[in-house]
Amino acid sequence: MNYFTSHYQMFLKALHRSHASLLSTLMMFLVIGVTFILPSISFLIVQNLKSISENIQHESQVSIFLKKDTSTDAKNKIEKELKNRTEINSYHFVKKEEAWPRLQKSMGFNDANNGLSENPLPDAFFISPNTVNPNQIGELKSFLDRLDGVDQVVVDTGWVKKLNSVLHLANKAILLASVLLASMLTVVIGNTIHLQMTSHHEEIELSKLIGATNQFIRRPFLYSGFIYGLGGGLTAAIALKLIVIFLNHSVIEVEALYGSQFIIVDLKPLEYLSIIGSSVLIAVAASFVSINQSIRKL
Amino acid sequence: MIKFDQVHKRYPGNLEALQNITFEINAGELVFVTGPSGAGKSTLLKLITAIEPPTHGTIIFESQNLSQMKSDAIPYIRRKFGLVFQDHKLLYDRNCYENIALPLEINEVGINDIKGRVRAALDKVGLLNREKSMPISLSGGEQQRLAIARAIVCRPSILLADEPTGNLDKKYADEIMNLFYSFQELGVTVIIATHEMPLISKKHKQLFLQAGNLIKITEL
Repeated sequence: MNYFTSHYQMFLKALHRSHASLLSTLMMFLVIGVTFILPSISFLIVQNLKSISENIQHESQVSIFLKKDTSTDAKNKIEKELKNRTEINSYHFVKKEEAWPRLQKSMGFNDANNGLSENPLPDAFFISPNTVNPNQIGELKSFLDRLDGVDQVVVDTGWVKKLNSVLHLANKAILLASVLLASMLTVVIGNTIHLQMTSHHEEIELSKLIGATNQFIRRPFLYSGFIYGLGGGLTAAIALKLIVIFLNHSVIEVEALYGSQFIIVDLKPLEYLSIIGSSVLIAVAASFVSINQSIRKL
Repeated sequence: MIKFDQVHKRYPGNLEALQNITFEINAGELVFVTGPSGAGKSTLLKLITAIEPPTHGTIIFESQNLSQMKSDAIPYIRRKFGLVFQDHKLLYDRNCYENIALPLEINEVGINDIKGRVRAALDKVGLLNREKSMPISLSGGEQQRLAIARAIVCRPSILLADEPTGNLDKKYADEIMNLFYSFQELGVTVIIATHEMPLISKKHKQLFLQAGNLIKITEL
């Protein structure tokens, strides 16, 4: 019998054992599945918030308010500098004479009731940067601050930065939670495999007496771990997919009601595969450690 | 085939199980290891099959020194033996066929060969019609015959039995002994540890143990 046939037979043996105790196998799938769903959903939420914040960042603006006495020459020089900056996607200039009526209109004022004797607004440039990198935006702001005639530079991405730092923190929390859950899973799977070995104690003892190697004894239990990992990973992936479909279905209803445009971004196929892969890896590793400990004690 | 040279075995707690044992067993012999309970018969079989290592001395099996053997080589040595235990050590959650197939699976015999060899072994011990039965449904004598079928299915060159008739009445015990004689006639080396003196044939070699010492070797 060749190596692969032997492994195939052991896999069938493990499959048979899993089928023989179907309820406990399904429970194990569920335990592993739920353990993987929890951090995966959190990850999905963070990814979606990230994509929202990135969209907001793309729409962010840098506003340059000029000093009231800025000459036309100085304005032209500023415009020239803006043209030369590679991190600026587009810009437009708004004269204070145009800005004031617009503001009054939007606030519901007029010259008679605004209580101001003159136009309080300065001339301004509004810039759309082609970068979302906070460092580059910061450098651009410093550069603009130093230009002659510039009174104030305002970057309206402050709260996005805060959101990003919260998301960054959330990512770390998810990572930590994943490690803790993986440790818990290792203990649960290891214990289950240990119990399986205990229930097959007589078979293992007899097998050793009549010439079974440790590899021979290990294999079916390793495959049991593999089956648990695969089943649990698939349970998590399928459940996660169904959750995304369900949420997106709900979003479509909200869209229809409010006319908003928003869709839950699903995980990538590679991310789904990595959930299944991690599940298999943890289960096989936990089984391996547990089996070796049990064999040593036998 | 098997050579013991000044072998000692001491268990933890300074319990001397065997002392200064020296003997030789040739291929094709049928040997009785006899003596009262606690004489060291089972320990002797455990040393032969490398289940226990000797404390001192040398055990040679087919030119290999079992005393110096690495632990990962021991399973391959054990495959050369057919073992029959007093308590049968059958797997009661598997049927007769599956019980006998186990040593073949351990020996990595191909799936296609397993069926034929299992049936041949069952036929040899007269249990061919009980292939699908569970061991619990068999009588004591049938269970021991099943255990013998499991021991011979890999066609071992040496068969070891530890009190194989211990739980059987005379009729079944005779049946079992006749099976062992028939294997010896086929050229298999058979070693039987027993304290039941009426079963011991005077025609065969005997190693008589008492309190861990080899008192007497009787040969033809």
